[in-house]
Amino acid sequence: MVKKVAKDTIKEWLADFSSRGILYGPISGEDRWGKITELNKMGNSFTTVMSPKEIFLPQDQSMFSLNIKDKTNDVSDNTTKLTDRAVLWGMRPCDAKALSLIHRVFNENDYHDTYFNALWESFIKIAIGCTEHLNTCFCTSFEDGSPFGIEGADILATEAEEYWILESITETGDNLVIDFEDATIDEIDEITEIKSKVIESIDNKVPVNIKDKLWNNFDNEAFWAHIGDRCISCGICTFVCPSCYCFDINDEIIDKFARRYRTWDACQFKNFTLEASGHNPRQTQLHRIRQRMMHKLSFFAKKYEDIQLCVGCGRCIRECPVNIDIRQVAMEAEHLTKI
Amino acid sequence: MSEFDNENPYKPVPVRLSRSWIETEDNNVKSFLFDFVNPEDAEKFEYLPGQFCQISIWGWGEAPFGIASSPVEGEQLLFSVNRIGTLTNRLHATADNEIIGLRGPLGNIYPVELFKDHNVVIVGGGYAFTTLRSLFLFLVDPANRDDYGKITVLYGARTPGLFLYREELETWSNYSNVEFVTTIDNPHPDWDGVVGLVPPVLKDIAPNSSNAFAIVCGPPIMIRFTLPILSELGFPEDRIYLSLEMRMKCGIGKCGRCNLGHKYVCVDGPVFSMAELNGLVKDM
Repeated sequence: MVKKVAKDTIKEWLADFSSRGILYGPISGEDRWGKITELNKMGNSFTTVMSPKEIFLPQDQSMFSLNIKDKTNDVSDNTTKLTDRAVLWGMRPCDAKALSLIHRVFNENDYHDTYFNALWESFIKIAIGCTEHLNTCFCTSFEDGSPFGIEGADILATEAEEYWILESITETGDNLVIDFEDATIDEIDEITEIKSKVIESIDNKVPVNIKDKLWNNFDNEAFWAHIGDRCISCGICTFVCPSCYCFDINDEIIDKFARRYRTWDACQFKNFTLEASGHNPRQTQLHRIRQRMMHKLSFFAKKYEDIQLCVGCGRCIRECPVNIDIRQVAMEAEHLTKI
Repeated sequence: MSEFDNENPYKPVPVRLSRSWIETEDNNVKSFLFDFVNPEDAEKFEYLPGQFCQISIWGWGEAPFGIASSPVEGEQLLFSVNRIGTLTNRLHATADNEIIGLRGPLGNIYPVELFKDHNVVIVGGGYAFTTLRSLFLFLVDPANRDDYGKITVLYGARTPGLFLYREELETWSNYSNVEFVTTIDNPHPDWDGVVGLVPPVLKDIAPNSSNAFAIVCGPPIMIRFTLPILSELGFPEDRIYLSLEMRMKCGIGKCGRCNLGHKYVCVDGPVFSMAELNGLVKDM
């Protein structure tokens, strides 16, 4: 289903969701994602520092709580689903694809992450096709990566000169846009032309199909030391990454309530793998940055039919305080002699 | 059914401490015998040797422990826990009848189907004897005994007082076609048995490797020196099994910390053959 919607109509449409309290998106000036209470508070920058991951995998999420003074042992499962299905507007196709990868992991092995799924199903996801790109964008390096990719989205919205084109991908998307006017053949042609121009203009091709190369160079300490020595273990790459999903689970007692909660965690921290015995399989930063790079470009691809756990959004490159660039790692890896 | 309607895999079920006792002379390892509070939870809990559970106490945290009881023993679950961190110290203070949380069974199993019609060699050291106890009692259970050939067990500890399940071990030699050897690191006044580290003692016992599987569980140093001996004895890498430990949080392949390459110890393990491990990156 392909629909054409005038720009003013899109604004009214979103304003209506907002007034009903069911509009989510990038928050203007905050580089964060959340509820948009008024339409003029929605950010419209091309990309955000934080990814929309925080909508589905909040930084701090209560899992269970119970009153420990009360002997009934009645545990509350704090899985939350929004009362009314909400609209998430504004994520880019790379982010939507990244979130679909997390969705896959979180439903693997017959263990379904109810917390993630409840939020995932609470939103109708409208991704915006990218009519511009940054010099750190490299989504098209990946086999199914595209500035107009549809993986993980219910609707792809692309902005033309005079109107928006809404392409519905799922039944959920269909139901949301059904009342809009169908796009004409000419309008579809116009949008197709816009798309190919953008795709052609991205010349940032990174050799990302290097799973075996990296695997076979796991023990190549010189290669990993090159980035490991520089890395300061801050973990920002993982926090801004839309596809990094590692988390920690902890308990706390506040007054008479015990709470089990999960928080974002990162493979860049020494404690991540530190065992109670004192043994740590990833003692140095070399081991830890290697784990991240390999999870992104080797381990995940080995497990999931050559799909990388990187979508080329470029956030880690833009935010790294010491200029570690995953593209450079991939390019250097490509030239390693050991195949 | 939407994915949201699935059961929350992070939710523990309540178990009640039936009784607990100190296992080792250093007071560090305590065994805990639990009953399920709800009969339906007991019914759903089907496990085999090698699997683990996440044990938790609300407000204190959660951690993985190998199941030391054997499915042939009935519904009660046994865990033997080394007192080493916040949760395990709190667990050691648990009173009889106290209710705590349990998730499981998690992880894979010792491949007891594959072991059928073979001899089985079990090599263990120190506190890491929990799931090996489960395995041994499974193999020698009357219902299963005929499926397996000779069973050799070598169990090493630093001192006589550091063996787990000491009273019970005394009966293990009585099972038919079982060779059971315990060894301690250094001579000790209370010990008239074998003295020596596990790897050289294993070499002395020299279990026949033809038609046999070896299962190894113990501290990293013991494993490192035991594996070459098993190779020397002729065990191929696909007939040597190890049970691994790594720091875990979720136990169900989500939280991302217990991976060896593209495998997670929690869901793809904790039991791996040497052949599998040799095909993985060495991130231990």
